[in-house]
Amino acid sequence: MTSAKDDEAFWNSSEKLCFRFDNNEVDQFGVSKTDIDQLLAGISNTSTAETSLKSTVNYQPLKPMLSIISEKTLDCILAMDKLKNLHPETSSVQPDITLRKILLGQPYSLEQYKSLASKIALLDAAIISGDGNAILIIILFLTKTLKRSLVQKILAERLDAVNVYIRYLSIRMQINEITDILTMLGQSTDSAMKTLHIIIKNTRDPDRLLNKLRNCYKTQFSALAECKEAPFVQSYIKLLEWQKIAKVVEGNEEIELNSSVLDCLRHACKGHWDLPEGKLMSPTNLSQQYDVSSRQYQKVALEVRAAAKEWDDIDRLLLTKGWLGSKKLQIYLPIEDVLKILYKNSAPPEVLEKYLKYVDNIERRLELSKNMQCFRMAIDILVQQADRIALTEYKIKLQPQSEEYFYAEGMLRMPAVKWKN
Amino acid sequence: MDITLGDRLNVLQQISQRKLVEILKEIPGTKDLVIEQKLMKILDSFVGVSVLKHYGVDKIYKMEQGLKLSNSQHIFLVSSDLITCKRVLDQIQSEIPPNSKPHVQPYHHILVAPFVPAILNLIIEEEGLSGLVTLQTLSWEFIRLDGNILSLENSMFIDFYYHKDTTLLPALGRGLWSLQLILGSPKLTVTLGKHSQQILKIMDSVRQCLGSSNIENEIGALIIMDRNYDLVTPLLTPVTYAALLHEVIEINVGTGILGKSQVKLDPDKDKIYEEVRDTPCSEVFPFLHKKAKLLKSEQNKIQTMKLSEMETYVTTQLQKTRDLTQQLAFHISACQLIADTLSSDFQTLQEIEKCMLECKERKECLNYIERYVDDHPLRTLRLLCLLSITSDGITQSELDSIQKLYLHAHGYKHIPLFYKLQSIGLLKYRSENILHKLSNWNSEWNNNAQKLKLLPSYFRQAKQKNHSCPSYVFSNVYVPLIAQILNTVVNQEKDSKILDELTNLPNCVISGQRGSLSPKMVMICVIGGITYAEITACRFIEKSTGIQLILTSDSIITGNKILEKVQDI
Repeated sequence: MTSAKDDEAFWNSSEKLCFRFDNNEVDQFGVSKTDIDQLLAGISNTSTAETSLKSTVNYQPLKPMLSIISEKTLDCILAMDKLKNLHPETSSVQPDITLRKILLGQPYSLEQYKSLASKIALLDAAIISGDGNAILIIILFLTKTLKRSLVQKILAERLDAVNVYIRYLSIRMQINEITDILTMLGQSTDSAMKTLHIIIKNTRDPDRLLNKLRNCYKTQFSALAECKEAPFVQSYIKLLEWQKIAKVVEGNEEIELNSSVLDCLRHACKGHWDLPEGKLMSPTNLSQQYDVSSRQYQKVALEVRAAAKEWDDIDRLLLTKGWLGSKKLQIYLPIEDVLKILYKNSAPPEVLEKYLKYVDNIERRLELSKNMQCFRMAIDILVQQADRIALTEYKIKLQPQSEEYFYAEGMLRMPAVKWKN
Repeated sequence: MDITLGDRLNVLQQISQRKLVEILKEIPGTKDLVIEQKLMKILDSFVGVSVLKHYGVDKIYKMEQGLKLSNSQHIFLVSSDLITCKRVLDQIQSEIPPNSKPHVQPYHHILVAPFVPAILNLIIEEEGLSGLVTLQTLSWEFIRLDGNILSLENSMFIDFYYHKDTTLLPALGRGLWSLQLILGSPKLTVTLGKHSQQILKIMDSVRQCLGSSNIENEIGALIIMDRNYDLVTPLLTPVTYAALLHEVIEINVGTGILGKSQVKLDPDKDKIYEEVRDTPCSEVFPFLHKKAKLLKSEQNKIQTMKLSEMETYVTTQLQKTRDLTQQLAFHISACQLIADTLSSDFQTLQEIEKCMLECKERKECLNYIERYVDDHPLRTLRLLCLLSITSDGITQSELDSIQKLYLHAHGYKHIPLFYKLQSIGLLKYRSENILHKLSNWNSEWNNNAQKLKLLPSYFRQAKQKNHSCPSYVFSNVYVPLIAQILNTVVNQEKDSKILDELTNLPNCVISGQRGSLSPKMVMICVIGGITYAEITACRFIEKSTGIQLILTSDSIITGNKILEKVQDI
């Protein structure tokens, strides 16, 4: 900051300050002729007053001042004092002009905005103008030239300015300052969420992320009774802790730190399907810990076990024992979604057919059977509907000489069927 | 010679180039030009390499870490966001020898688009680089895309509506100001929203300082709307080709990118695009099919051509046919991609959206969202936001389960997402209210939309597949608000009352001369991004009323783009 260059810049800018007065009949020292005349008159008055006061003391008559120094010298000396007295604000503080200069990218200076009132007027004019660029530069000027409590007071009543400033602070990751301002404004939830957001976005290392989250939860979220995100933050911390522990256990190297609950569940269903409840890696344990919905649990388990071609697991997952050993379907996702997953994982026809039966709408069941190449199922439905024409048409589409082709042919020849057409 | 509107709009490109050339001229000698990646295509739209070379640019680099440059003089072209600017400063820092002499001529020049943030000067001082670098503004004019669409190609949505930071607003204001110098000032101005009014003030300030248009030209009306004035439009799924194309493929400064093939989506260069862009996608495929057949028969003809015929063919037709083939191939695969992306659920999706607009079947809507939240996160977020807006809010208990499902499927790193959506106003909350469970309850949003005649099914029998209303862009369920405002402005002579009624809308200001629209030219600006559904709907009105339309915005957006940007904040 103290390089020769900066000093030079400073003097240049104060020079600019002086030149501003040119328009108001002011000479280059910032004093006008009339001002000097008034001042001279004032001095002569004082000198008479002083002589009368000091009349008793060793009085020495003085020679007229101007016979000793030139008027120019006097002007010069007086101008020096006058410079201080002359408050620049009286003539040059015009927020509109300053703002226009900022808007147009012209050189500008905020230094002449000395009084609190002029600073506030400048900020307010910027807010009205809608130029965020100007708003930010003025706030930074305020933070440099006013004490903290005053800046906070000014900001408290100007949310538009706060928003721009908070944005800037987020870019520079000044979390403490953000927290201070938002807490002062009573926006504790915003403060907590903005902090959380900055942490999540800027922390790559999972260990550091975990530490920062713990700290953030303790200082910001724990006190927020009504913040609906607080329990999620807690779960986030718990999951990261779990991932850290699980990852060092043999066979779990592929668990990715900071992956989602369902990714972890997917891993557990893949490698630890048979673990009893309550064990660290058991799928049921995981889904209970994080309150995974029945639908999501069933979907993930179904996808993983189907990919592993463990069709018995799927029966155990989707069917419960009913009365007298009968099987009852217990699913939390639409049956068509179940079928889609099974088909995508190339389930054999007998598995697909088992679940196709649970499609209530017979037309839809027929359509799905055809789409999923469950030929027998499709043929059976057509026979059941006694629709000879449709069955004949379907047969034509089948691969000639294939098993299903003969099956369809056999059905068409069945004497027991009472065809409706 | 007549000067057309197109001629005037093409001037913009020349002005942008001139601005850059003026800057280059001031930096004598050879220099390296380092460009931030996302600005490359934009630069490409108004200046060519030969011009850059002519003005001393020796080599052009993409801005990246650890860059090694060849010339001693460098020009960096970057956008105004502080993080990018800081990276440039780091690069410069690494190139300055530790004991460099003071007062050397600066070798580093930073061009910042769309303007130099005042704060950047302070940061440069902080970094100890004052006096060693120069800072200059490069503000390009609107970039002309797809006919009369003008875009700065600089998305400002997140800045304005999430950060509530209007730093970029003057850039848009200056763009509109120069556009008015070229086209004329509006007789009537309609603004909807806070930023729309602010932008008028900014334009006024610039005008006071730099003057206004001397040409006698005037335009009939200027309509400016804040994007958050109508958030339903970007959330709904459009059905027209150009709109869906923007939803599924990457489009960079008017060029569609699909795998390896790239096509400029410009109606002057691509006649197929011109014909299909505003057509519902379901009608596009048969059209392309027909075109492909024609092309095929033309190719067959070549086989039987005589030598002399062949010669004329090669000189006159061949290049055209080649271009046509490439374009046709592009549009066919784009169509295919659209079909694959929306898949068989498209119809259900449309029904769900319709229910949401009409405030019906809430339970089913919520079920649909829950069912697809794992596999289609963006689509479900869009629907969730849509539901929350059209029904005046979603309750805590409704949101709880969806939020939990979302976080479990996509990671707790998304915890701030819902907060961000809420801050923007894309996700609205309301408290539990027993009255809302009544069957005849209707949302305030729905009532207002009905008053503005945005929901065609309420005021007329929705005609199937009939393009008789701008709502066809949403298969006749919704008219984008900006199109309805345009309609009102165009038809003010017939019914002056409707224009007055607009002033009842919050933050809507109408100024200037009313009566009939003259000249019949309207400029529209959407602050925060315009969607293709809006463009298509407004073009529909342009065609049916015989006006001329100029559509401007900071960028072209889609619902998915908005949500992706929200995720990336």
